[in-house]
Amino acid sequence: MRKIIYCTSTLMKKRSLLALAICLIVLLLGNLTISRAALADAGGWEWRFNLVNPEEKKSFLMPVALYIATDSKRFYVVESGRNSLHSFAFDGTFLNSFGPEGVLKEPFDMVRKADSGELFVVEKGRNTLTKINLKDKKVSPETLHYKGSVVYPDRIAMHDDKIYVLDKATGDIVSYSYDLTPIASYESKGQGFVDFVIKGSNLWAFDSRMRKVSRFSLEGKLEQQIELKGEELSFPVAIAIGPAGFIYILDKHKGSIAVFDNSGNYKYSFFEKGHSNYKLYFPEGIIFDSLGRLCVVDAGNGRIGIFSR
Amino acid sequence: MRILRMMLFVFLLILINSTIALADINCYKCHDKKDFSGRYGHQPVVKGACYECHSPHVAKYKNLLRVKETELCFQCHSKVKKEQVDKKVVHPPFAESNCVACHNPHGSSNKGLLTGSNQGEGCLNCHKDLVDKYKIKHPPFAEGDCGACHNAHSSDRIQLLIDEPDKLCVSCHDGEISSSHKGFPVKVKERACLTCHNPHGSDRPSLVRNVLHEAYKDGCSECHDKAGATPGFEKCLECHDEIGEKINNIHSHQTNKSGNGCINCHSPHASDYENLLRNRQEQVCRKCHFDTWANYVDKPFQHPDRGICSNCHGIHGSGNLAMLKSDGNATCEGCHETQGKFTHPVGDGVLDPRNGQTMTCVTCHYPHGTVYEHNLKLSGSMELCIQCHKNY
Repeated sequence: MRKIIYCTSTLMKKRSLLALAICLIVLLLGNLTISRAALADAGGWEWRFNLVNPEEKKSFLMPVALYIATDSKRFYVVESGRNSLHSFAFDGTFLNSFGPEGVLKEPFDMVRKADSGELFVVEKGRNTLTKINLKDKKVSPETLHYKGSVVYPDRIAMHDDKIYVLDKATGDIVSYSYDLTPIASYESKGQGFVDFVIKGSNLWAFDSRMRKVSRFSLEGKLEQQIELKGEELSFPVAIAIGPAGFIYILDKHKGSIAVFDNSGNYKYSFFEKGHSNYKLYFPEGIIFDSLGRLCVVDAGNGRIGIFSR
Repeated sequence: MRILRMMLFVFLLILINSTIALADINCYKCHDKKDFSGRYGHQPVVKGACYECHSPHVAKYKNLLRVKETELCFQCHSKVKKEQVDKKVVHPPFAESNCVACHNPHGSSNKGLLTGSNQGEGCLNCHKDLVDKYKIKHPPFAEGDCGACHNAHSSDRIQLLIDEPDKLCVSCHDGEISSSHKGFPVKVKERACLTCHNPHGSDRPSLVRNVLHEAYKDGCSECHDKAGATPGFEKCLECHDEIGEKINNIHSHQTNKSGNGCINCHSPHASDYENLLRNRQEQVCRKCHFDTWANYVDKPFQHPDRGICSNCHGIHGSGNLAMLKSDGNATCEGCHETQGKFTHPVGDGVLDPRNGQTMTCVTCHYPHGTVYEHNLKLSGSMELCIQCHKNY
């Protein structure tokens, strides 16, 4: 009798263990499926961390641009809501801030000269491209001109000793030397560009209203016009070229990113409008860093989201 | 087998009887035939086949219709819906399948069974603001030929136009444009007609719009040089300097290939609208922000005065999210004085746990329009609240 009871209890223990193991496997599989589904919604991009305001500890107020200094492996965040610039290491560690004392007026975008460390900042409030020497804290605002007209700087980029400036007034792009002498222009044939990016030996500019991407040589020759097809974009505002050469278009109102091949055919979209991670709210820009990570300037959520695959 | 034959016979008898019964119905015994006739007749009425749309005995729908009014027309006219409903701009009655708003389903004196004594009369039943508005009328408008420029169902162009505005003008006025603009410093450019002319009518000769820009009254040279080129922003700001400060902001509406973004929205010469806008404000904004309009236009809960965008948005420039005049609380408090005082806490120090941003009215409300009461973003019964209150 005792033997029978022992056998039964052993059997029951084994069954319980088996049931527990099955439960665990099911749970794990479920979790795996859910996280895979979430990743699929994010186009395979996995959220790594957010850059946030070092003083507030929580979020920026209207971050509008991110500059990536590949040489020094730093992120620079332009926070227009607090008229500040912030630098971070590539792992997200906060390094420094500039501007909270009211030196800047509505900063909108920036670049950094690698050899001297000088910053060039678009100040919308002054309508200037402002040179900042961090060592001696010297700030020199300059009003830009092109062909006799005042230029209203919007997005800027730096490449091979030149500063590229998108003129908000005309929607054209003008390149300048460091002493701010105009060199070449990249003209929109449509309604004006809203954003551009330099990748390799090309400048890619996006005309939002025409839904067209223009690919220029860096000398200013229009090499290709790409019509974006197959996806109804709501309010596209920014462009990035992915590591595989695909065109990434940020849709501010949809809170999503649409991907097109380099003939303009729609491939897929990811992210959606909202407030949690993997969701965007009135985002302003997208950029790929040298590690292939996707960085999203999410103005409405007050953060820079860093994603990788 | 015999039973089966019997059943088949009975079934055939019933079928023949019912057909005879329908054919025998003379609706005009009770309904006056005059009310159903016109120069143009709807084919079922012409054939006397009233039963194609109406059930003579009993029906689930108003007017003894066989199917829902919104579905009935498209049972035959399916091609119309298929081809036209997916356009960018859809006329609201067509979008709502409310065909009888414009068409008489029995007969009419107009082609296409349009209501009214001419084509335009039906249009003016809704577009009342155009009735007797102008001393001098554009002939197609005076004749009620709205279809000369507009497609009544849908279009890919603003205001349901059948072509680009200037192409439409040139299609009739090609020969006379140069001769009637002698003395103009430049060639009359494309897309320029509506800058000065109202396509419906005006109180001025040549349909020049009623309100002239002060500078334009004094002649072209106030703004243009001899070459006649479009002057840049700075020329406008010489008089309207208060706008300059607003434009120098994070968001603005500056871009125009000519280098002068003012003319995106304002006519530099003549207008029929406040502040020399090129059209009603809602139409001006919708030209570029079509997606915003499309996002709320069919929603059951919409903000009043939603067409006056400048009530909430800094339309010349703004440093705030969504180009609001101020932050998401102050903008609303201009009208909703009690908001935030006895409702959910909002404002400084109240942070959205999802992103650390200050809670404002627009955290929970989408002011243009939504499917939820009070313009909430999600259902207020629970769905919205648990976005933040996870343990609710």
